Amino acid sequence: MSRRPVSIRVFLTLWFAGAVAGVLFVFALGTYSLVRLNLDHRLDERLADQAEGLVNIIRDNRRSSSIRRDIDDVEESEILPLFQVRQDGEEFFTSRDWRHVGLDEALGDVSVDSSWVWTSAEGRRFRVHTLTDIHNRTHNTYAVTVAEDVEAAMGTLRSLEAFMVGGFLVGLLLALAGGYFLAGRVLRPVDEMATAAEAITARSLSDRLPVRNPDDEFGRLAIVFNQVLERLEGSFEQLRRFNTDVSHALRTPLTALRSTGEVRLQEGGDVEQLRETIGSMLEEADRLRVLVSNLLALARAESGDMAQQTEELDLSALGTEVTESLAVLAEEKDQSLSVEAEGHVTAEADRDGIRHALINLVDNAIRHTPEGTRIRVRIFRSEQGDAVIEVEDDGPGIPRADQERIFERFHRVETEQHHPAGAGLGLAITRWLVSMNGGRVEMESVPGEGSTFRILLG
Amino acid sequence: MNILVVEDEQKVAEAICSGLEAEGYEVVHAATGEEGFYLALSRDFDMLLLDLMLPERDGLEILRSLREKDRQVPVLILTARDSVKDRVKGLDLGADDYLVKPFAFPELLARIRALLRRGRTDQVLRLKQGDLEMDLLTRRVSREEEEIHLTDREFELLEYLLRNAGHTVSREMLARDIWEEPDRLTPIDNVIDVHIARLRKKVDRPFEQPMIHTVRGVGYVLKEPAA
Repeated sequence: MSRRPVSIRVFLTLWFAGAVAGVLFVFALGTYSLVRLNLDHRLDERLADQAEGLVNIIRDNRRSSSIRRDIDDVEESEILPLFQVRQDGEEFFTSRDWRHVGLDEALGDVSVDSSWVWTSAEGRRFRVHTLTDIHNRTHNTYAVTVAEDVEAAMGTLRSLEAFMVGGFLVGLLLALAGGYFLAGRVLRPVDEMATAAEAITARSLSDRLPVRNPDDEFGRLAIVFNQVLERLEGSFEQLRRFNTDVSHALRTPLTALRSTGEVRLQEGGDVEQLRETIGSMLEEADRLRVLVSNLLALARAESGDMAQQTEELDLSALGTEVTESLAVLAEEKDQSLSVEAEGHVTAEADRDGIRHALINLVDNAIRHTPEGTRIRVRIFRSEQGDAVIEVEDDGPGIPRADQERIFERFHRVETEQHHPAGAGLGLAITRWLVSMNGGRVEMESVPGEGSTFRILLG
Repeated sequence: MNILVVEDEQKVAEAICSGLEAEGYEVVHAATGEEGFYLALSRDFDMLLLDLMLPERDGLEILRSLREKDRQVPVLILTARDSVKDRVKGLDLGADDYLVKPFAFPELLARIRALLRRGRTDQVLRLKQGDLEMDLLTRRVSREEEEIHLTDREFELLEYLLRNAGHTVSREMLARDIWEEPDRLTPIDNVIDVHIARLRKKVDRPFEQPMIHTVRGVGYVLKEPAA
């Protein structure tokens, strides 16, 4: 099932359309104002020209009667519908349309050249322009007033308005549609990733998301997601192996326990034989107990649910104590176990944890090296300032193939000698104990020459 | 001595009861928390073995109610929960000791003995078992009047075996009480075995009858040689 990222898509579309609408609006407003200003200006100019034209006609005539005749011609030509001429303040000629509109009301002081706007009772607006002139023959003062309906002059503006509203709406619709389409296109990789991610389950962790373009944002996202999957797959694999290992490790002592009991029950025997069998079964039970306790301890260490008491720990003293405590084991194998401390080395750490870790390492060295070898425990401070406990042996070393995995749970090095003890948890526990104290465990081993394990505490 | 065992797991209960009876204790068993609480209130016991996870009434709840009613009977908790938090909670509520399952039976017996002994300070200066003698003041050990020289560790080990003479001690008990290992996971079983072997060499080898015996799968026991 594919879920579409509707909200983001709509969100992007609205933002896009909003931006387009804003730009369109500003542009339209600018255009409209410009055109309007321009039209206004042209109207003024035209009126001024017309008034001057009339004044020129008046000037060209010598008598009032010929003036009237020429003006009459002007009206007849219908070039100029609205005008009035006053002679010495008295009405001299008024066009029909002027009278019809009733523009007389618009007249103010006609003795001065001026220009204004008058609004009629019906709401029509007129631009009115007055020009006065004294006739050089008759010495009459003529006031010429011309007017024009603003609305008619602004007809262009009306159609511009209509065009703009229409254009704005069409533009907005286009922006919405285009935005929706674009957002969908941009978000498609996300959608695809979601679909692909949904198909990935614990069983198909090896699947990866498609990376279309590793350089763009979505490509990077897919790459990061794939890296997360990679790590997840790794831990799942580990977990799976761990589960198998645990079942195996539990099954071995359980099988021994069961078959020992079954065989004895079938064969019967005297009290001493029964005792032997029960003892053997108890030994297996104890192996199970140790195994389960170890697993529990590891689980706790991993979930961080472990009691820690950090103190200023004297590593030199700890090394000596552990070595002395395990010395008997080395003696039994005729190994030389020595401890040397360079000065007084201390670290902030949990005593029980580090002690356990060190016992594990020394015990391992004693167990895994043959008789008569040498094991050295050294305690010193490294050049980097770490407190170091080093356990070095000259035993057979660890095969290269095992070196990588030696700290993993249940990993056991296959050797010719069989070491019955241990389920392969010792080093895993050691590493956990040390890392819980903010330190790390290092290992160096050369097959045939020996191994060195180091606990480093910062 | 009578002991009340409150434990719902039937097999575990049977094993504990018959084991305790074999040791000479009188045992009463309660299979549910309710029954255990009723018995603990209505009768007098010298000691209570209390499982924590019980049907009907939780072990900790029983313990709390008992202590609220001022019953001072010693209580030993048996539980599979071994986080420090659980342990502290149990002891805070007035438990006298705490034993984590799976436990070794000798360990349970030793804890019970210790709890029942509590309050009676028996200052022993000499330990004696058959012809084996130990003087705790002079730290002299002898068998058949012949002095045996022991290292400090061997001395402690033998003292522990002598104090528990006739009773089996598990490796876990030795690890905790002699080696003071806080953690049952540290691999020192081998160390214990080696020390026991050395102790035997000194205490048993030169003499006719061995006194230190291995109880396979459990631990060790020091016994007076059968005449």
